Amino acid sequence: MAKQYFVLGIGGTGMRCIESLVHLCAMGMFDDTDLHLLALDTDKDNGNFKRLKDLKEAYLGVKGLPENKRAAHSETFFSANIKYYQFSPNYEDKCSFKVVFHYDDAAERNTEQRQTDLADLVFTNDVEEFNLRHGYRAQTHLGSMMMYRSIVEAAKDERSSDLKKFLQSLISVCEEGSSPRLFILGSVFGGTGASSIPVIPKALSDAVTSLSRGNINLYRSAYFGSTLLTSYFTFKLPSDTEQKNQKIVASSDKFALNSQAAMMFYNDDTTVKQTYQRFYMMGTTEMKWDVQSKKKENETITGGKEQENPSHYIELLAACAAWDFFQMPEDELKTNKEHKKTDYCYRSIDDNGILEFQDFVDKDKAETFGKKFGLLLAFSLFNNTEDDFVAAMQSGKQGMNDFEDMAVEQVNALKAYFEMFHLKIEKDGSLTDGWLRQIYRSAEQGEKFVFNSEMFAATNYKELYNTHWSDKLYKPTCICKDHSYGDAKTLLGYNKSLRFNAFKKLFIEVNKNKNSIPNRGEQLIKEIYDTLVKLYKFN
Amino acid sequence: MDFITKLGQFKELQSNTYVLAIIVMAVAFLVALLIANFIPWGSGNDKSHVTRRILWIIIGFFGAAGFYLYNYFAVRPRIKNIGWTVEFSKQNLLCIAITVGGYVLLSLIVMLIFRRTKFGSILGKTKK
Repeated sequence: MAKQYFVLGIGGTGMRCIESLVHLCAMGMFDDTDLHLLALDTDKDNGNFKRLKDLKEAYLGVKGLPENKRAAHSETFFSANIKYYQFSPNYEDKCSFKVVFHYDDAAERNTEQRQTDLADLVFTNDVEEFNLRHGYRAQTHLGSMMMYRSIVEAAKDERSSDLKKFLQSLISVCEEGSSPRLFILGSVFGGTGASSIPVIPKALSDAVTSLSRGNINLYRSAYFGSTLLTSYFTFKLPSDTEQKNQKIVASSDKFALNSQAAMMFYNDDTTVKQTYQRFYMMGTTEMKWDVQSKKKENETITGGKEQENPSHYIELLAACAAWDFFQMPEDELKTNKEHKKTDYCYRSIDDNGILEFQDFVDKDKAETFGKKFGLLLAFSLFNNTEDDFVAAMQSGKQGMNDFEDMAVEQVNALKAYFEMFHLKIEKDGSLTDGWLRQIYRSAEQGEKFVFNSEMFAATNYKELYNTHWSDKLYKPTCICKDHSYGDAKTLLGYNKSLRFNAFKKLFIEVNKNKNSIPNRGEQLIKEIYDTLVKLYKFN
Repeated sequence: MDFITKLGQFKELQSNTYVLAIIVMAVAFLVALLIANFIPWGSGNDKSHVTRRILWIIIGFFGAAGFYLYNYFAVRPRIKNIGWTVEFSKQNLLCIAITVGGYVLLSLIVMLIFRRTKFGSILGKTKK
């Protein structure tokens, strides 16, 4: 049976971390795993939330089967079986603290005067009245309470919801006698994520208790891990007018301070320490990443569809932390839980800021990570230029006619996935950055990222097709530097057609015997994976 | 130039011509095989099999035609007896059939056996 792992992504940063996690799944880092992903955001119109949904659709489209028939595989791309859930507290009708908690009604009744007094003591009037549709706007003291309430209320609600399905999966794992592992992705400096990390285990546990009619105590039986993601990006500061109009607005100049305060809290708070078995602390030394730099807006974007921040390598680091948490031996987690001990993990990178695969995962796993990441990049290139292999195989244009019964939807989903993973080729030949190119930019470009900078140099379709991905995929200092194929090099220089020729030659040789995956699309993807493994001499 | 003046010499020439026809056919086949493998697989809508097919036809044609012309211009004038010349001309035509027929037959067998190779792709797209 496939391993069952649970991940929650909370807030805008959480969404982008899940995005990175989905890309890890596409690389094949989560073999034989059912990954339950719960995307939790107050702002359901958020651009990042939508981007994640599109990514999820593409991933599941590549898998190709209806949910009940979808399965996890191993040693292939898209190996994990993602089960995606989303939850947003409903702030459409009740959009402020005062309305949600019937503050005005309570104030009128003398018996509940003490409650409103307490609320007034901890919240200013502006906090009590601001519109919650764009999240908690760095008001974590309010956010924690609101998020807890939303989750517990949703579990009690008789109507079916994604949250309840997620909780039901947790209950099923507990009922089988296993201890589920939950990893929470979010920032500690913003609004929704920072509000939720401290209360999520308690909220989920209470919700599970309610849903299982008291049979399951999640708090006791589950292992919890989380990222402590400190400030790493900035955006335009709100103008005086915006500040005046919106009263409560998140401001990136407070992020560093918020982070510091949060880290002190996570270091000291006994409840948090008793709840979480492992924290991964991460951040950047400077907040150079301006998420609004490419946009023209004059206003500070607080949420909504306009808030579609580009990805940053630290989000990949957070996703890798989740992966690491799931690889941990259960004994270690058990010991921590029994002794109410929390591991605080951190890793510092080289002073020159150069990122290597071993900065993302343990050294002994670095080559595996480099292999899978690199091969997915190569696959995206074989699928994104004139070498559009999968589409050609499906339409019989490769002359082998083995995969004509593969669903065309799977081909389109793969195309859509790669547009989000790497880049999109526009009609005029220009390129729009996908996730990988965004994180390359966030690492200050040049040779600072894990791959050869030449992989990211192309600015148009023609240049992209001329990229030497056969022999220059990995940079010369990288752990995978020896993995290339020089078949495209001739006495007359680099020959693009020989690059594809070597791939197809090996594809035919490697896949004489068909693999056992029943779904045709997944079967082809596995064949491509096996070919690329051999082509880049990984075994 | 050594002239063919005796019956024994002519019979030897005939045998040698048949053997040479088979050698020409085999060489043409090997050249076609080699060239087919030199042509890279095409990406996307792969048309490389069309190039291979065209070259396979050209090689077969020039192999047979070259051998015919060699016999016609280089060997035939060496035969002094007119009756033998006519007989040799008929044999030369038969040699075309041997080189072309053998070339096609041998190629087809190899193509069908190794259907997923570059040489096999000359037959065109596989049918399920």
